[in-house]
Amino acid sequence: MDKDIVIDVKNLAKNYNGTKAVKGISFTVKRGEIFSMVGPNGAGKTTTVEILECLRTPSSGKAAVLGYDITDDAGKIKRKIGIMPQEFNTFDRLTAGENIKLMAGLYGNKSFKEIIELVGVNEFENKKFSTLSGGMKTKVGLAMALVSRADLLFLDEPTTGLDPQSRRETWKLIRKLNQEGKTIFLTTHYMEEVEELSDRAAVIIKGELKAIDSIKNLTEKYGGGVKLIVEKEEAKKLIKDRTDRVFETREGALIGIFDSKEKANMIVNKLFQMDCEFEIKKAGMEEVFLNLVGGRIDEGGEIL
Amino acid sequence: MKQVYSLFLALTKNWLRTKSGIFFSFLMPVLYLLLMMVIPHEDVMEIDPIKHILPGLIAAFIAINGIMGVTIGVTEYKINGTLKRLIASPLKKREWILANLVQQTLLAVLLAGVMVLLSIPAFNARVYLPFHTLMMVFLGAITFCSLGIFLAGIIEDKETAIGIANGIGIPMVVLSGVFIPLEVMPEWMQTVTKLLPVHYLYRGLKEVMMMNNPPGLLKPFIILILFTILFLFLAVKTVKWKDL
Repeated sequence: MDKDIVIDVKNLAKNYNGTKAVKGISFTVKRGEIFSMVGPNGAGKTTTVEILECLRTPSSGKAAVLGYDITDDAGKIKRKIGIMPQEFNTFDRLTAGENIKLMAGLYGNKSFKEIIELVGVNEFENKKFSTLSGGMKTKVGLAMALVSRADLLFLDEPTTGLDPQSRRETWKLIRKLNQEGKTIFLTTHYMEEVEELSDRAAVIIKGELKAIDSIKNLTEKYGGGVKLIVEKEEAKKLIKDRTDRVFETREGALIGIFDSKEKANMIVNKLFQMDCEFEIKKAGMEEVFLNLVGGRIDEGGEIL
Repeated sequence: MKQVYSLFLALTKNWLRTKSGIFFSFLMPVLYLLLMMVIPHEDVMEIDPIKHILPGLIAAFIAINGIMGVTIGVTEYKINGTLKRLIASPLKKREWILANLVQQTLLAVLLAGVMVLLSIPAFNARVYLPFHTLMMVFLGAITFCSLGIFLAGIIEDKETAIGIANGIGIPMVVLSGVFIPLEVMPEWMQTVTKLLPVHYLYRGLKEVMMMNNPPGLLKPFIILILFTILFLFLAVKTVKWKDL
């Protein structure tokens, strides 16, 4: 295996009572990158990541993590990776610090104080886990993943359910960890998170990989140019007349996607004439997903 | 062993901070002891009641802590993701089981200690053979903790855990001969009682700590060992360390 490839997945599949949760997917993750697996709830993200973490048995296919086979070398893999499981939980009557100490003990590591400081747990180290906010619990989860001293971290939907500020703080921390040389395998259903953090992303729908590439290439290939965001009814009508690629946000705004800057500019001129406010953005992962799947993912991870 | 020690400490601290755990594991046995000692016993027992009640309550509450405490506790860890977080670490299944056994053993020793220390001055109890007694307490804790882990291994939700733990634990303790002496039971009930592990824990404890009769320990000890082997085997088989 290539030295720079830390995860190598070949035709991996998982069935649950006849339902195909993961349908023969293949991909690699390179050392030092932030790799995101993005998809709605039930797409197969967590199943895939848990197979790689040796928490689930694949139905077929092969995968190697850090050069070790996930079926034969589960013990070795677990010692060399850091994990933050989805909907992470731990002993709720222990303090944040005690939970981190426990995990350090399970990895046979004595020193963990600097990790508590790095992640920012020191501010609430002596508070019981049950009394912590969602953002604080995420920090504890990250610290518990980091005490492994592993260079490869699996973070399964680390920001789900967090408020925007806690989410941004978590992103900052993930970036910092990546800058320190950690490879990060992230699963999420937040497109903004993918854009903010990832070097490469894989879009997974109903157990199948629809696309996998760098964010730049994905947006160029599937993002399709420029998006205009408007709120006024006459502006919405104008956009709907000029493109089929439109969708409404939860706040009631309309987003129209245009293949080229030229087309978008024509609409922009019209909007000026109509005295309508608008926002113009380069199309991103949201649009990649819209083009690949034909729908958007809402805050809760469901396809709209 | 470092992993077992780390987890044992965490389990113990987490348990010590549970008010209901402390109540059911320590205060309730003490209350039962006081209550049962003030009830007149002369017409049903030929021996000093403390000789029956003290080992009986120690056995009953070791069983309750294992069957109810461990079954419900481990099921809760399984459902709320705590167990998954542990499984995702290098911790092995046998280390997880061992840490639980050690924690329950410590709890059982503390329980027996509190009960004995209270009974000596309060009820003039004479307690013999501390080594043999301790050995039975260890064995009892391991037996019922293994049973609890086994039950949690096959249960998928907390409501079922509470139902099954109560459904198994309460009849087992009531029929064990601890609360109703074997001699006053109908014959069919005596047969059922003789199939229950808590009965042998009670008998073994009584023989050594109250009757000063080490040879009487042999049969209960061997039967309890067989139950322990069975429950430990089932616990190891049913606890999932993958595909949770």
